[in-house]
Amino acid sequence: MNDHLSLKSLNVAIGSAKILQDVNLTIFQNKVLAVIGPSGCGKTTLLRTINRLIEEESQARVSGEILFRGKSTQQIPLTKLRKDIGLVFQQPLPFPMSIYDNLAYALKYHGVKGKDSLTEIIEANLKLCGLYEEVKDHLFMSALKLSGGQQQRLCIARSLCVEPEVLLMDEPCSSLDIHNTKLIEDLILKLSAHYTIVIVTHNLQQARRIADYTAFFLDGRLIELNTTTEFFTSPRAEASKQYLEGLFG
Amino acid sequence: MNQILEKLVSFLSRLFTALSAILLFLVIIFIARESLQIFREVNFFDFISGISWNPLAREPKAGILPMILGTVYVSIVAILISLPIGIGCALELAALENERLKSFCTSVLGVLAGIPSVIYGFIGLLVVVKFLEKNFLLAAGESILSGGIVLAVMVLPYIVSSAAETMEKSYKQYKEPSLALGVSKSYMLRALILPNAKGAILTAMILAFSRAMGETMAVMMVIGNSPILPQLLGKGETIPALIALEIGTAGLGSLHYHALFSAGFVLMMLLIFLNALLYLIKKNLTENLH
Repeated sequence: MNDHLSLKSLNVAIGSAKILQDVNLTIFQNKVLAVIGPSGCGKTTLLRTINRLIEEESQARVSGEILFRGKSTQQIPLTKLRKDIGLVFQQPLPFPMSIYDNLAYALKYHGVKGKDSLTEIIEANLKLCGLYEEVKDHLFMSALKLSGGQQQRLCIARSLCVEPEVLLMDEPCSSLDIHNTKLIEDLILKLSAHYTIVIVTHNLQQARRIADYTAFFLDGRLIELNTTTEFFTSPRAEASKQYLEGLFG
Repeated sequence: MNQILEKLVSFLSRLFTALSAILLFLVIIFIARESLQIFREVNFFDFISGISWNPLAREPKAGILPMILGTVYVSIVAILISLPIGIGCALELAALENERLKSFCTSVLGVLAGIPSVIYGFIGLLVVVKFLEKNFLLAAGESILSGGIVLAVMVLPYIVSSAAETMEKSYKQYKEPSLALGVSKSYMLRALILPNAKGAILTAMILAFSRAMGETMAVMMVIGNSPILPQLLGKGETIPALIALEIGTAGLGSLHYHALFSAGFVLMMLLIFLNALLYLIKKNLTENLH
């Protein structure tokens, strides 16, 4: 199995608060990794550190190393790194433009030219995310008019448009209803054949349904990394057991 | 007791709201009353389309077309100069991460807006007019262009602050989702923040245009004040300058006096029309977005 990303002694502090401490984590290629743990344990920061979005905060200090395909992320140009490692946010935030332009936005920057090739990529990604049938007649309608679930699928399609290798997802279903959650979970399972996916989730059942591996974080430390089946049936760490039993959360 | 107080407050606030609306009406009515009298002697169409202004001659002529055109011309020059600079400034300000530098820049803009216009007039005479005389070999540097340049500096803070507000808001909101797609900040400013600020830029433009049209002192000092059809490098006169220069010498109730009031009325109508236009366009824009 290939290591796609590996985090080595990663420490992240924002101001005087230590958010992540000595995290060593391997993320395997074309697998779904669920990151779980109580609120404030550093799950979101983990994702933001991987695509270096954390460095936009002036207070943030990062030490340690993240290898992407064996190369330190510090040596990859930021725009290239973020193109290859997409991030889907908790709150869907479509840009205030049409559905079509939302997807064309980054494509144009990354050098896709001509209306035909743009349309081809855009339609393919809308189809992949199960949105095409719903919006095909009004691609030029403002994306802000879509429902929450549609907006989140649009945001996933927007991330997929630029052909990332890794897709980071930060609780993508937390504000969605059951129907849209199901749609997105099915999408994740479908995507895992071609993408490496890291999904932060609060929903243990969701981790169980879609993840190959599960990483459990507590107070900024990685407590356990295990296959999802083993993590949920026979967790190794005591804290994992207690978390699964709902003793804290 | 509380109930009485509440009623009193709501009554007072209604009263003052009504008062400010009534005030606008009274201003319009008063100016209209003073100005309409001239149309007994001069036909309205001749008044706004006539090109000679000589209300004190034996056969008085009161045509204010040169002044209307001068006002519009100098304002358009000002906007053409200040809009690109202002939008650039606003974009830069919106994307500025350094909070201290940002608040410094904002207060500089505030001070710039607070400088009295007569001071801008001085600087215009000393710098702009002289520069034009030297470099364009003009007999006199007082011209529509110098008026436009001085006005451009004066309206710049208004353009920047009203455009920057919207841009800053959308920059904060969309920065992370945009960066996460691997696009650069400058692309984001160009392809997302700028088009999204269309409405704000339009508002800024019309606000600046109204201010430019109404500006009196600074323009009057550098524009030459000749009631002739304006040319970019030639002298011209604006309506506010015309009124300010001549109202002191116009005999009360004379044709001259009423003609000046009418000129003011025309200016006011132009401004109200512009503001109404702004309202309609903005309404249209926001409806399209949501």
